[in-house]
This record gives sequence, C-alpha cells and structure tokens, in this order.
Amino acid sequence: MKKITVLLILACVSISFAQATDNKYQEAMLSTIEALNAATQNEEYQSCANKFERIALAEKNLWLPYYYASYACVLVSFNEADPGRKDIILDKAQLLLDSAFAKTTSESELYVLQAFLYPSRIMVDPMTRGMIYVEKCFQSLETAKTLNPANPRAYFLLGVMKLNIPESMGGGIEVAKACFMEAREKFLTFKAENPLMPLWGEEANNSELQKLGL
Amino acid sequence: MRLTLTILLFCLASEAGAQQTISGMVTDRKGNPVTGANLFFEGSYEGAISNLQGVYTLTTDLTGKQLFIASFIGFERKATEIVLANESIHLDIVLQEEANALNEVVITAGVFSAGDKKKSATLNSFDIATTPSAMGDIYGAYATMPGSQKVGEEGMLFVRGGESYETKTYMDGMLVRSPYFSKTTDIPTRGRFSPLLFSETSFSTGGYSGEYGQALSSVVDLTTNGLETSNKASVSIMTAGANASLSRRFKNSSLSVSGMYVNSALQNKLAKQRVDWVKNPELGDLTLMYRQTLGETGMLKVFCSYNNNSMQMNYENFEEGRIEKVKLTNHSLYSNASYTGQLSEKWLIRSGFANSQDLEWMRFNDAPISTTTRASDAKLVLTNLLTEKIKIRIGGNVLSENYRQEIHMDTVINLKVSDLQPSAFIESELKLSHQVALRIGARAEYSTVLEAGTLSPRISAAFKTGSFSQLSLAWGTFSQKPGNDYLKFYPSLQAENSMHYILNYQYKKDMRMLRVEAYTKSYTKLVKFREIYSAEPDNYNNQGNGFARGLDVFWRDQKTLQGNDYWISYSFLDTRRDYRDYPHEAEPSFASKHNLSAVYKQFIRPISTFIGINYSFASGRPYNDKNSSGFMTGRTKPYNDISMNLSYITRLFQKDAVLHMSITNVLGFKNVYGYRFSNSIGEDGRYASRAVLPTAGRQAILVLLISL
Repeated sequence: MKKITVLLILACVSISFAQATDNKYQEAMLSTIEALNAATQNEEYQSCANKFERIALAEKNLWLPYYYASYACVLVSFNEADPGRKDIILDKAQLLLDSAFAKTTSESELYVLQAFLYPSRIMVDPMTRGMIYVEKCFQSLETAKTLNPANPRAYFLLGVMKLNIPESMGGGIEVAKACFMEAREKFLTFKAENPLMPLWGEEANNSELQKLGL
Repeated sequence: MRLTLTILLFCLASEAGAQQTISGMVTDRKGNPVTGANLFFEGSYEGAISNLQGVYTLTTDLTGKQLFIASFIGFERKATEIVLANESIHLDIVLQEEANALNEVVITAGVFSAGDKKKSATLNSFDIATTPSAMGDIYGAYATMPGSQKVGEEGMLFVRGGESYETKTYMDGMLVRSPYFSKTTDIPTRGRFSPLLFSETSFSTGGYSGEYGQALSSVVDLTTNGLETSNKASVSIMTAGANASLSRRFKNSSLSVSGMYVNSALQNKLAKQRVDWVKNPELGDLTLMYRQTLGETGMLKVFCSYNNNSMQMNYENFEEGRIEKVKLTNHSLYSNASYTGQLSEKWLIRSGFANSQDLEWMRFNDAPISTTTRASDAKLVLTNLLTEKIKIRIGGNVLSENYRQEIHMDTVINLKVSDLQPSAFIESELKLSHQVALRIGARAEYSTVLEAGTLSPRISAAFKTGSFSQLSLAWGTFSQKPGNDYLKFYPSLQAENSMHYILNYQYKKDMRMLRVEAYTKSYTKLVKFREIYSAEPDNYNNQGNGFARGLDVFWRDQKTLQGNDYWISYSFLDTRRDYRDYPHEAEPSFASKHNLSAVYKQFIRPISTFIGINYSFASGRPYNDKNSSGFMTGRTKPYNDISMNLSYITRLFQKDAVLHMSITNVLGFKNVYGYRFSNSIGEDGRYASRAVLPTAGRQAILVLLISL
C-alpha cells in the first residue's frame, strides 16, 4: 500500500512537473509573441529574437521557437540601412530558419517565412540578386500553398511580390489585387492549430488592399 | 507542524537567497559597445540584452556550475563557465567578429573576383552580360577592368603590358587550351563561352596562386553554374542568328543543353564593312552541362561544348601589295569533368579532367594550313583545414599537348610539338590574426619538350588598415613555355619568365569600392628571332626581356542612387620590351599608356527598360613608322568609344520576353589601331602606309529573348 502511494505521488509529481515545463514553454512563447507584436523599435525586435533563440536552444526539438527567432531577425533586417550588415542579419535569420527546417520540412509556415526572407536579400543588391531571389521566392510560396492551401500568408506575400514586379514580367497592380483579395478571404477563415502558431499578415494585407482602393 | 513551517520558510528563504545577478559590458575587440547581444545561461529561457552602452544585467535563480553564453549576429558566440554561489558577478565580455563577415581580411592583390557567394565581388556574370562594349563576351567585359589594354583588332585580353598569350583561362580549375575562336589578321575574335554559363568568374591581373601555371601575366578563372534550380527553356532570335536553351532539373541532378547559330551576313549588310567578305563569319555552338550531387558534399560537373567558326575574305596584304584569298575554318571540342567534395571534416578534394580538340584549317591563296591541337589536363587538389586559421592546399596536374601542323606549299611541310607537363604546387593560407593573412606557396613544373623544369615561389599578404580598408602585397615568379609557333621550329627554347611585385589598397564600404594597385613586372628569357616564321633553328633564342609598371584604379558605386550602378577604371602603364624581332627595347604596339573605362547602368522602371552606357578611352598606341629612323616611334591617335545597350523587359505570347539592343561606337569615332607599311619604297621615296581600322565604323545587334 505504501509503495503504491509513493508511486502515485511520484506519478503526480512527474506529471505536474511535465505540465509545469510545458506551461513554462507556452507562457514564455505567448509573452514573447505578444512582445513581438507590440514591438516598434529595433531593440525590441532584437530582444524578441534573442528570447526566441534562447527558447529554441533550451527546447532543442521544436521548430516553432526557431521560426519566431528567424522571423524576428528578418524584421530587424528591415530597419538596417547598411546593406552589408543587412546581409549578415539575414545570414543569421537563414541559419535559424534552417534549424527549423531541420525539425520539419512539411510545415507550410516555414516556406512562407523563407519567401518573406528573400525580398530582403534582394534589397541588398537588386541588380544582381533580383532575378535569382524572385524565382526562389515564388518557388517557396508554391510549396507553402501546396502544403497548406489555406495558409493566407502565402497569398499575401504573393501579392506583395506581384506588386513589386513590373506588369511586363507577370506582375502589376491587377494581379497583386487578386492575390490580396484571395488572402483576405483566407485570413477570414484561417484557424490556427494552437495559440502559438503564426498569425501575422492580416493587417498588412488589409492595408495593401486599402492602398489599392479596395 | 511548527517545525515543518520553519523548514518551509527556510527553503523559501534559501531559494530567494539563490537569486543573484550577473552584469557587465559587451564590447568588440576595439572596445566599442555591442548593442543587442544575447546573454543567457545554456538551457535557460531567461536572458538579457545588452543596451546601447553594451551594458547588461541578468538575474537568475540558477545555482552551481553553469555555462554563460554571449552571442550576437555577426560575432562568434562566447561561452564562459561560471559558478553561481550567492554573490553578484561582474563579467565583461569581448566578442570576436565572425571570420566570414564582411570585413574579413582577404588577399586582394591582383584579383578581381566576381559572384554572389564572394562578398568581395567586383563584376558578376550579369554585369558581364550587360556591359555594352562587351557584346556578351567575358573578355570584352574584363577589358573594362583596370590592368587591361584596348587592342581592338585582336579582341583578346592584354594585361599589364603582357601579350594576349600571357593570359590563361581556367574553367572549374581546369585549363582551357583555346578559349577564343580562331582568328585571322586584324579581325577581332571573342571568347567561345557565354558568360551566363558561369556563376563566378575571377580575373587576376597578377600575383595569383601557385595553383595556376603557364601564365606570365594573368588568369581568368571561370566557375560553371551549379545545379539548375528549375526546369527552364528559352529561345532567342538575333539579327545575327538564333539561340535556344533547355534545362531540366531532377532530384539530385540537372541537365542543360544550349545551341547557337550565328551568321553575320545581315549585320555586315547593315553596318558598312571595311573587310571584303567572300563568306560572312559564321559560328555554331552546342553546349551540354550535367550536374549531379554525390552524397552530402560532393558535386560532379560535366561540361561539354562543341563549336565551330568559319569565314572567307579577300585580305589586302598591304606589306606585299597584293590581295590574298583567306579562308578559315575552326572546329573545337572542349570537355571538362570535375568533382568537388569533402573527404572528412578536415580534408576537401577537388579533381578533374579536361580535354580539348581543336582543329584549325586556314587557306592562304589556296595553300592550306591545317593545325590540330589536342590537349588533356588531369588535376587533383587536396585542401587540409588544419585549424580555423591554417589551410594547406596541395595539388598537381599533368598536362599533355599534341600540336600538329601541315602546310601545303610546293611541298608538304609537317611540323609537330608533343609535350607532357607534370606539375605540382603547395600553398598554405594563414590567418595570423583578424588583421593579417598570409599565403605562401610554390609551384614546380616540368616540360618534356623543353627538357627542363621551373620552380616558382609565390607569396602574398593582406593587412587590415581599418574596418573597411586593407592593404595587400604580392610577389611571385611565373613561367610559361614558348608558343608552338616557335617550338615547332626550334624545340630547344627555354621557358619565358616574369616576376610580379604588387601593392594593393582596397576600401570597401556598403556598396562602394575603391581599389588602387601599383605594380612592377619584369620579363626575362622572352623569345627573340631574326625573322618571323623562319624554320632556321638558329633564328630563335631566349635573349629577350622587358618590364611593365603602372597604376590601376577602380571605383564602383552601387549605392548613391537607387537602381543605378557605375564603375570607372583607369590604368597607367609604362612598359618596354625587347622580344620577337625588335632591334632593341621598345614600347610594344599593343600597349597604350592610359586606359580609361566608365560603365553606367540603370533600370528605368516606368518603361521596364534596362539601359547601359560605357565610354572607353585609350591613349595612342605605338607603331613602327618605316619612314622614321627610329623603331616603334609612331603613335596612333587616341582611341574613343561610346557603346550603349537597351533591354526592354516585356511579355510576348504570355511569356516573359526581353528585347535587347546593343550599339558600339554610337558617336562614330574614327578609331585607328595601327598602321601597316608597304615593304617597297614608293615613287616619292617613302613607304606607303595603310591604317588598321575596325571592321565597321559602328555595329548594332538586336536580340529578342523569350523564356518558355
């Protein structure tokens, strides 16, 4: 009897311990995601990137913290004016994204993030990199759509890309508009699997539509 | 009960007591604060970020021995073991910049490397393809780089007072025996390979690594594209022919095939020709590329290209005062297979085999000359990454060459040269510190036809002088066996030698770059002869020599204005040499003292058009004025050229399309490359002369490319 009690207690303790660590992960992720959403300054983005990276390193087997760490780095790169430095930040973002890919290759969001990273690379040296990275970007978005046709971010980014490509090359306002409209519909029906999954893009998509007079 | 409570309280107290702070400052090696660094204990979520002053403070509940990590983008991560024992800790951290970051110290003396991978890129394949005066020719684009001379009637690269044969081309590390199409007198040639086949190219104007042999002045190293990323197909129609290409991507491999046919009949009709063409120049090309990844790190590349060119004309031999019927046909097959991979954590391997078969058939007034050159090159290079700071490369290659010439005159003359050249090199690259890099090496070569070997030591070093600038130095000796045109008559010649000294300063920040390079080069054992094409053995000797010294300046700015890009290069060259049939040391006819190139490119978005303009200037070239008492005393007038290209990006038949137009010498400058003099004195007691002119005053080409 005594033995059983001890075992029971041990079991309870270990379950609650497991829950505690899981809760700790959930809480840390949620609070950092909130902080990232509220961030406006580069130091804030960097601080979130750092935190996500720490979580990723501590958890080791999860792709999501790596995803967010990489995403935050891309946001940091947006505000970096020096092209050389921008490239170094993107190298880091790519490294983190590659770590996420090492955990899973079937997650649509990772391909969306990859497509989100490439345009920043183009900004470093548009003349040279334009052709290469535009193609890579479209490829990533195709994969993202194949893996999850309901992922609104894939359609949103497709719209952004199309908007920045001249009409003569298959881009232009009309094509972009259609993508943003499709994205808007997908955003309305999109249900994240859990509260930690990426949710960004809806506001930006609406503001793009607004700019285009829709 | 009381006891329990006390114990509990005690526990809590001790728990609270275990919380402690660690603080300090994060700086780079120069003491500048690093802002945004990530500071944390390994395995823990909690951490701190360094502020604008580099200061951080971290409070932790952890106890005992822990690993404290400091990391930041672009810096090497630093781990410090810390024992947390109830007292606050002060820890200042100095982070080292990552070696692969932008401002790494790299040996830059003599080298212009290009490609996306290398951040020191100066010209990439896209730049080459869109340099107006180059008309899609790799060598034409490198002619806008400092150190090269404009020699319009040749179309080949002449580097730093060196002859065109002193520049060698390598593809994926393997020698390309005949990189240019065959040419005849005064008709410029161009490179056999399209710049779009290469992901990286590097142009070295001196002081290059011991890996490269048989080049006195310069090396052009081309790296072919890796795996194609997707299936692609395109066709293009030109005013001078057509081109089609197809690429297929498989899981771990890709295959590309491209074919081209060029006929300049229409071009030559549009632009008035100064050449009396009997048959307009024609080119055909078929290129095949196969790429396969092997294992995790291995890559096998197979390249195979067949091309031919032909032309026929009535050439005015002004020296002899007669018209000669000249007919030229050239068939060339070049294949190259290379493998790169990692043998273990410390060892990298690069190996390859190249074979070239070149048949040139020339007819001078119905006297045919056929020249066959077959060459093979087998190569192996091993790199040992001894430590992060020390890299040792060791390698060797065996080059075999068979040259045969048949001259049909009154009798048939058979000439041949067979040579086997084994060679080896060793080289070590040392990063002495973040500021200093050193490369020391040597190359040994032996030639069976010369029955002699050479040993060429080479040293280069780079010192960082600031965050964005560095100074490089290079010294080395180089040797090259004399051309088959001499060896076929007299194989007992010796290798020609040169020695380079180079001092280079480079400043690179954001997308701007300034390079200034001073050099001096000496030549010894250059081939001399009394009479050209003479079969008399005692006609030839190795008693020639010479020197070249000068200053090259390069400035490129891709930053100042959005969407535009320009570069300016200037070269000053002072060179004299005593070689061939020169009576004494003189400035050679291909050397101009001042060379200037300015290239400007811009994309004009509203009209989807890419525009490029370049201006070239070269001061007058020496020529031997037979009516003057001295040797090489004449000077042509300066050379000027403005070339332009426009690429209009559009859609045709629902496909991406580019309409491309290129015009050389837009303003119609009347350029003169040199003068030919009659061998006989005219009635006025003078030798009559005739200017060597471009084949046309102005040339234009129109290309329509459609991606399928």
